[in-house]
Amino acid sequence: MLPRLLLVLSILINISYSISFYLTNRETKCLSDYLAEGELLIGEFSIDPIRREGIDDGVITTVSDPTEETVYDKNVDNGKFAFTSPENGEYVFCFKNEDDLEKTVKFNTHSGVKAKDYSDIVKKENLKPLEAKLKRLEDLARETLERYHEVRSMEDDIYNDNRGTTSNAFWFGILLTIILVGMAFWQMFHLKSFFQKKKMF
Amino acid sequence: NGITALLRPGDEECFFDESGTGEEIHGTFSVTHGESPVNVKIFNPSDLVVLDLIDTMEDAYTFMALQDGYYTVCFKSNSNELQTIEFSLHIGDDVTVKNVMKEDHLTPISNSVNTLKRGVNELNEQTKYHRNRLIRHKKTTQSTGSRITWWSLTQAFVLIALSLTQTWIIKNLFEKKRNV
Repeated sequence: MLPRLLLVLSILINISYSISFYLTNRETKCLSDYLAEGELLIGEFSIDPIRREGIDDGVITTVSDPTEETVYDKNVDNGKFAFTSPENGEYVFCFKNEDDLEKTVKFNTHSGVKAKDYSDIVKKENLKPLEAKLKRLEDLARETLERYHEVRSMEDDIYNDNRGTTSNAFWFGILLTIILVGMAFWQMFHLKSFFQKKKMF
Repeated sequence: NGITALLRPGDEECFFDESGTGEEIHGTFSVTHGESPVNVKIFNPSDLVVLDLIDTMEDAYTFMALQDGYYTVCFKSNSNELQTIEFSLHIGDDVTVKNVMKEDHLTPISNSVNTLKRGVNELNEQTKYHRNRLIRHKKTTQSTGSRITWWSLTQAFVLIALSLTQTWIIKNLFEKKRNV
């Protein structure tokens, strides 16, 4: 029972990475992360020192998604959130200190495979810690390969766009030159026949 | 990981995290918006400068923590415009369990798995960074292409219209003169 519990605990407490920063009085700091459509994002934050009831106004934490809609807006000392990205774009995390005293924000965020919770799979398939690690590694490697394919196809698209733009620029240059020369000649001949009609020549 | 911070002109933004002695600290940063290089300083828990990078646009660093405590990385802006910095800070093994005994920590295979895991993690992050940059490049390229087309067609139209107008005005001048 206890080893099982420790095992489950060990997979759950896997977000030990985080960054911390100070918020001076009344300061707002924002961080952002770029996500592709359909990617999972999880985040966790904690504010220190803890808010004193009735005295402090706390820190307002807001998260807005790539469509610029606010998806999280709370004034708490500890919070968690999870979202699936609706489109390619940035998630913006803002921390607004409503008090005069300096606060420390501890924050971490993960996306894609790193955001995935493996505790269910561990329980279902009865995995040892090493096996769980390898499973995660397997998923991570697969995700990396998928992303790499995206990178390659995007580079192809960009290359084609650039070739198209270059050749467009060339042909437009020729077109404009033809128009310029053509209009010049048309002008001359038109005016010449105009003056001839007016018997000025 | 791989989060972006806003760096206001002349400002310095600092981020810190806790490390134990002997843990490997690995970080990356890159100026993703703005043309001006930044100064990067890393402080150990005794507030001494461990690393001092001047006038850099992007770099990566790795060092071993010699003390327990908070290590701080600071980005200082040298420019008078807004910049964004995408950075990451890894301390030790990301997927670590603190205060819980790891069953198979000492076997050779578990060491190999840890090395593999570090490599794949790094590759995953770099690919994510690359992909995100390319998404932006693609948008820029597409907009450049359409701008060239639109502008060229406008030029063509203006040339023709200008030429016709000129001719018409000249004709008009001579018509009026005649009547006078």
